[in-house]
Amino acid sequence: MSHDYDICVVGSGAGAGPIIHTLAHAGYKVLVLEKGPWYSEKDFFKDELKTSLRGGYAPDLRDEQHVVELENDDGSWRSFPTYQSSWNFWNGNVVGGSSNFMSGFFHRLKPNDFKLLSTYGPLERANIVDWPITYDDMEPYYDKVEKVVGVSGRVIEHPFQEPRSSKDFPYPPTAEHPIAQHIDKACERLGFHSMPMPRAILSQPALNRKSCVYSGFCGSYGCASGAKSSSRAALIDSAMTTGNCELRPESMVTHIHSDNSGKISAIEYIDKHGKKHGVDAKLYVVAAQAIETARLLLNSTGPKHPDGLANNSGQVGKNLIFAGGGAGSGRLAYDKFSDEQVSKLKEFGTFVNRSIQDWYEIKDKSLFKTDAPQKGGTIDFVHLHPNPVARASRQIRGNGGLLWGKPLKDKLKSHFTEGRYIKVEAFCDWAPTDNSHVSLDNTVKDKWGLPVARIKVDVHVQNLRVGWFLANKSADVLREMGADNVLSFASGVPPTNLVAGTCRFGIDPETSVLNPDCQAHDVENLYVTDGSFMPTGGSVPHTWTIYANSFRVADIIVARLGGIKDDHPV
Amino acid sequence: MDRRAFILRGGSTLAAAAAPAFAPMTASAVVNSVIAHNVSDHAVKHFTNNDWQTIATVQSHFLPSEADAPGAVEINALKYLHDFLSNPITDPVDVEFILSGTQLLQRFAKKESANGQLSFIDQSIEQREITLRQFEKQAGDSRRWLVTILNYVLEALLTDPVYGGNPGGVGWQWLEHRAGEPHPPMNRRYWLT
Repeated sequence: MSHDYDICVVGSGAGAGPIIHTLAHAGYKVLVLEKGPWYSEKDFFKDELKTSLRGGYAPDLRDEQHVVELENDDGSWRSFPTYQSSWNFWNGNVVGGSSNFMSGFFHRLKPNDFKLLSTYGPLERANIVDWPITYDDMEPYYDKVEKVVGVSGRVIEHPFQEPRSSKDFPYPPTAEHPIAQHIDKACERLGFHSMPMPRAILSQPALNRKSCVYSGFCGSYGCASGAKSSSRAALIDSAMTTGNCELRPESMVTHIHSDNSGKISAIEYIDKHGKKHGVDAKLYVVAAQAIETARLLLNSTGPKHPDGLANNSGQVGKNLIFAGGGAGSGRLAYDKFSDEQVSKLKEFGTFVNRSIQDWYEIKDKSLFKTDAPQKGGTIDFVHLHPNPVARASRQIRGNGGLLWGKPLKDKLKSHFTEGRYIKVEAFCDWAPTDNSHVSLDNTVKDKWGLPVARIKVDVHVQNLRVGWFLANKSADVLREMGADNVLSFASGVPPTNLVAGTCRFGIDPETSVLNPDCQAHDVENLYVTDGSFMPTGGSVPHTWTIYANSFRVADIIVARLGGIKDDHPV
Repeated sequence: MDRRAFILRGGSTLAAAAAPAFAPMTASAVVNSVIAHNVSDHAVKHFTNNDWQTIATVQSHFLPSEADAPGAVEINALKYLHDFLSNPITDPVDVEFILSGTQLLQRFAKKESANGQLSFIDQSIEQREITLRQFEKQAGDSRRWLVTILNYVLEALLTDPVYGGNPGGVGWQWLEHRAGEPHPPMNRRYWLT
């Protein structure tokens, strides 16, 4: 039977890019259906209003929204549509997805992250499982991401350094802000191990891309130089040069049709003019980010899939996870430092690039009520985001009410000019539970008339315990640096840009959606390669692992299709 | 026109909470400079001159002009808000919220004034401060409206000048903020792309 394409990929972010790149370079005909527009470096500006305040790279919530369900203090649940709230689960609907707007804090998972249950034991009320693959299975692909997608960094000896097949990173670290030296010295005095943070940003021209230009505005912003290792800049642009890849932007996939055997027969999408289309392929990959992937599958019922595609186990949408953790901040007041030090602290554009992973495993009986080691996490030190309106808006709350007039102006002047702020982001596992999941909302629909995703968010107390532990450790470092105004806290608020789970992979079709190859148990020609596959998330941002796994699955698919077809080496 | 000349152009006193008076323009002058040229803006057709004057007065109360620091007038706060509300992709709900909150404040200010007749824009700076503080404590959307107006003032202060506020980067210069590059050009403002 002939097909329009060898493979049809829904989405173009970090979970899709490696599939697109690998298959196109292997000589297979690839079609990419991306809901958002196709921008390039010349389309990205340092525009806080568009990027951060008006959601210029995300759908209008009047047209497309979600419904969020949260737990009240008394144990009951409340729900609300995001249009009527400050919540927004969209993360960059453009070619390359949210990887265009990431900060690129890149950490690998560690061997124990692949066997959380067998290493640390069960956690009450949480669906902790071991992964069906090991770190050793993934390591070659972490290595591939460093080289092909582009990761800059420097390996140092460290208690929790994960095994590596390459001695060091292929690209040296991005330029570091002098504040990194303050962190290093403080950690040394405290007996902690500060380490250079790997970044998915090129520190030198390579891979037909330019080096970072150190604009000072990285996270949340599209990269105007091409140095940020987005799926678009690093993988899709390259795939397009093969002549084997066709990308259709502004194409909203509305339904995946399946036949009487349960296999996908065609994909239906609507273009920007509202015209409906159908395409078919030998194989299909869905990588629309965890929430929208689950929603698409649930909306795609068929004769063998009455409850949604690949959902005969009832597992699609279950075990939604985020990145748990905490946060902190402090200010290095200029009046405490010499003129020379202040001059260095005022340097702008370079990165902090420091992390601590000393507590990737924690033993603390007073906190956890047990001698057994607990899974801990990662502390990343970063600049306070430079978006000025966001910074200013946080100054309007006073003790006796809103601040305005001269008192507000004085506070603004002090905040912006009298010190350098440093921020901490702490990452820990977000325990998957029965109460964290994606389903279809019964009443709210999008502009195409499709039910929107209903996102139920459950915060496990372990997230908060570990988050507090890490936040307090980070506060120790900030104080040791001489910072004032030190704040630190654990957060139960899910970071809407770090989403995973919903189609976990596993060996048992009764408890997982995908097999270890990320192929649907009950849909032979469907693979899911975004963060949906992750049963647990690790104590780091997910992106490097999503890239690596997608490369792993890409090799599986190439092998299934018959290997590399022509003289384009992958 | 440089900033100082612009500040000195005004005549009457309009300052704000506990701030030394440094008066650039009256609210009515601000309104005339912004609204007179935009009479055909459909989205804001229900805003009266009095509504705009009320908003301009609140904005200047929130960010008063000073000799060494820009205020609402110098950052084009009213023009910025007007252009945002007139923007074709701005949610009509947001426009209605600004208008209804403005009218709510007008009614509240009159009701709370000594003789029940003094409108907000005719109150003294000290009276306005009392009015706004009482308004902040009212049930309903009063406080949210104040926060919204305040945030649009901060946007006018610190967003890229291509959006009409922060002329010449005056807000960035005051707060020693270094903006990122490349800047958005006029033809790539957020509602155009």
